[in-house]
Amino acid sequence: MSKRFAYNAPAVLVFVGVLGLWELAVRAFGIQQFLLPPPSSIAGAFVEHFDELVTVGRNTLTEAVGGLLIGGVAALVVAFAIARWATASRALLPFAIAANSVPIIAFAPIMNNWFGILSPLSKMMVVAVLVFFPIMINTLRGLTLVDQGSLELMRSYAATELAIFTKVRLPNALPYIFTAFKVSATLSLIGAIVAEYFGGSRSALGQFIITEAAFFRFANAWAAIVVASVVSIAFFLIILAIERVAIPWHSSARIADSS
Amino acid sequence: MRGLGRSLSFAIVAVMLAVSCGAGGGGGGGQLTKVRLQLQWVAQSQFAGYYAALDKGYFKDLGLDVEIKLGGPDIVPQQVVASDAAEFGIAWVPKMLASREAGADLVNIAQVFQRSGTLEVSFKEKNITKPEDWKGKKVGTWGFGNEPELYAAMRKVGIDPTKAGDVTIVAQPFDMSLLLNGQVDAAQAMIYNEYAQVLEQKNPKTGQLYTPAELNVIDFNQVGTGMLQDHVFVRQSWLSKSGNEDIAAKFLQASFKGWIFCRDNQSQCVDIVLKAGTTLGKGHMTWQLNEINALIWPSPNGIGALDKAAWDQTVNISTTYQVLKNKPADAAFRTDLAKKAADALKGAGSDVNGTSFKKATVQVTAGGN
Amino acid sequence: MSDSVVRVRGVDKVFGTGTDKTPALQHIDLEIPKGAFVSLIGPSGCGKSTLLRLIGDLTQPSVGAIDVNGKTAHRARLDRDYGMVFQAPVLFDWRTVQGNVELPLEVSAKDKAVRAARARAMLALVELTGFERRYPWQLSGGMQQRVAIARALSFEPAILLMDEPFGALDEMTRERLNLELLRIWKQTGTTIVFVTHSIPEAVFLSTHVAVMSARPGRILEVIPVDLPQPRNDLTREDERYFGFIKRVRERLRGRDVARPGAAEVAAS
Repeated sequence: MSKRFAYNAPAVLVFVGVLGLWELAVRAFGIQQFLLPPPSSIAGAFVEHFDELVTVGRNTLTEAVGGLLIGGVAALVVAFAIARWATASRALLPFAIAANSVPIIAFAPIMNNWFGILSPLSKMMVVAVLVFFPIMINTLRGLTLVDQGSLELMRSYAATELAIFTKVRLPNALPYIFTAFKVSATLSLIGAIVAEYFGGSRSALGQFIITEAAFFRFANAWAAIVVASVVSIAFFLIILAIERVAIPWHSSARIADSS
Repeated sequence: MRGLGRSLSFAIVAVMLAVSCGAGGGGGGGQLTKVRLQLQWVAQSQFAGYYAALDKGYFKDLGLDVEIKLGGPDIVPQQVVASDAAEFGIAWVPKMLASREAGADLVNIAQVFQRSGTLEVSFKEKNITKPEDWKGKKVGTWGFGNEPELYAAMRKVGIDPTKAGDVTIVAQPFDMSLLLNGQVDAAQAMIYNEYAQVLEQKNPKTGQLYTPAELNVIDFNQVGTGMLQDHVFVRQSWLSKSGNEDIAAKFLQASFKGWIFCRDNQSQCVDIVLKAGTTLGKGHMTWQLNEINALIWPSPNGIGALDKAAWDQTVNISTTYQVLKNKPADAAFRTDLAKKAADALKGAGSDVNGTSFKKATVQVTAGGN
Repeated sequence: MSDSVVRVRGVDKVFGTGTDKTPALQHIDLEIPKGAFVSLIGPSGCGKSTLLRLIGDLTQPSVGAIDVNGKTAHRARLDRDYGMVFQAPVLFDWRTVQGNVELPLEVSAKDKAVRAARARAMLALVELTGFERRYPWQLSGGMQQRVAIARALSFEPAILLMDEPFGALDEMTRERLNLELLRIWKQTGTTIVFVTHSIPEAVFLSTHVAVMSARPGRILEVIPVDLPQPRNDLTREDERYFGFIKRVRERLRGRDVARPGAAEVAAS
């Protein structure tokens, strides 16, 4: 327990230090609220709007998680298909790359139109498209970047392509897949918030930020941003925890053990 | 310490603005004073008066070299003026007051639009003719601080906009797509903009353009929750500098003259706006100018005059619905500069009240072309 | 003749096509009797690893034929008649030691109990009992190679193909593993084809040393090493041991003229 404390202490100290400097600077230089509110104002805003922040935070998180699952599953399926069959590669890879190039601004209103502006699914689909490419491309890497020696070994056993896929490519790909999901966790929350800017339910973190910013209540807007960041970090850590359980053999787990 | 803080805060902005001159005192001889006007939205008839004043040389005549800066979804005029990136700004009163409350030292120097242009529009089939009819429906608003008139109108008849059981509020994009595809029962619209966008669409059932007869509108002026909108504001600290009050009065005088021109020469005025580079079509700009004129004229106490009752209503709604925490000080507006400008024009023979103005019937064109 | 487990006849191997051709092996004739321990030794790039891979059907000859266990090399691979050990252990990080040893048995669909029993037996053979639940990264290089050997033997192949398996290990571990390998060889009776860079190792381990020329590789001579069995530390002090080493070294350095005719290996 004390080892964990010692490990994290430097980060905590920097965090507290920055907050303290921020508060002092705002007070000392008389910086206006609408430019940069002090941490104390943000904390106050957080407490004052706690219930609403929890509600909108939960709604937005639902969109993020839903989108991550939809996009993640689709990405895995496509990556498997491409790794397994060369024709699938020729057929699907161009579309995957195209999906990556569509800007959210063009895309979100279309999703609102297709899936219903009030339905969380319209926001989930924006997130799904956003996370599709990183997950797909990383999974594909993991499935194909197998060392030659392993493939030769399996050939010496006269293993079928399927056996090679399940026994070598899949386990090899797991660390890549987890990395992709960790990156996508934060991406999904950003995607959900930005998608909310294009209309929908008012009970959403993105809408909350817009409204507070429009009325120059930046302490509230910052409080919402803090909520978004905290949720994002929590999401990341949850996936990290799952990774520890699913692939305990991976080097990142090993390094932590040896410290 | 305060001065140091300010320059520290604005350091980056100041560097970026190093090239453009801030407002200086005086403007003797042939030297024009450079000033910047930050519009609230993109180039359109909503700001015709300023474009006309520029085009017809009214600003130049009074010694001003005006740069008009376009607005947009991600531009906040209050912030632009507060950070000294423009001398004059156009915004809606509640938002300006909110910025004031957050520490920006802004002041309303001319209330150009005398009445609110906000509507809630629905198709006749929905039978929404009064606020009570919103109960249980899907009602759209743009958000971004444009919702207080709607929320106040709802609360006035006992509908709580935060209760999903009373009504479903839908955040809508800045177009009428949700109304047209049926995803909302009523949509927020400006009478001079989005309302016309509906009329410029073909009704798929009839093959003809939509007509006002197919729509119901709820006008917030009539409901009693209208709030004051487009006005000219400046920074108090800029105004306090010697010579700037004079510049402000001159700016208003030229601007008012532009608006008078646009009232009396609508067609030419539209051409000026089109020349200024609006992306919207002539038909739409014509409609818009007509409606904008109806918001300005008649100005019973002269163009740019502030009606105290309207101001109080705006303030009351703002404080009741937490747009503002407290009532603003009276220093939030001043009427002397606008009066000075209007009087100067009146003295030169212009009609600054527009009492005989009547809305024209504008032929709506498909797609606003 | 009839107890030759591997027959390589008139094999050429050329890599690349058109103007980019690289001849790797030329006119290879080799016969390996059952139960022999044959080392392939030669300068870098002489094609000894390629020859090993040809025997294992991991690549195919440009000219000529290879018989393994009385079948084509291809058939022998499909029938899993040989096991292979590479210089890198090629263990899977995500499997335990036992899991790695069971891998070929899984591929040939043996049932769970059989696999587990076989794996444990093989680990006992390489003296790694107690390490079943460990992961490869928890073992030393030498231990990892022992796991690789256990894995290669788990399905009781007739032949073991080894491509410089101890090349990455230090001298002392290497000598210890040499002894272990000989013990395993005696216990299982497997025929071993062993590629190495090290002349002493080749002499110490083998019944026959096939000396190869530089590229394009040919078999210069197959030298029968009739040192007494079982080989042990005393062998390394035997004068004849040094004699063989000298002979192999001179053959490697001498004129690279191949002996005419098929290199039949006399039973020792």
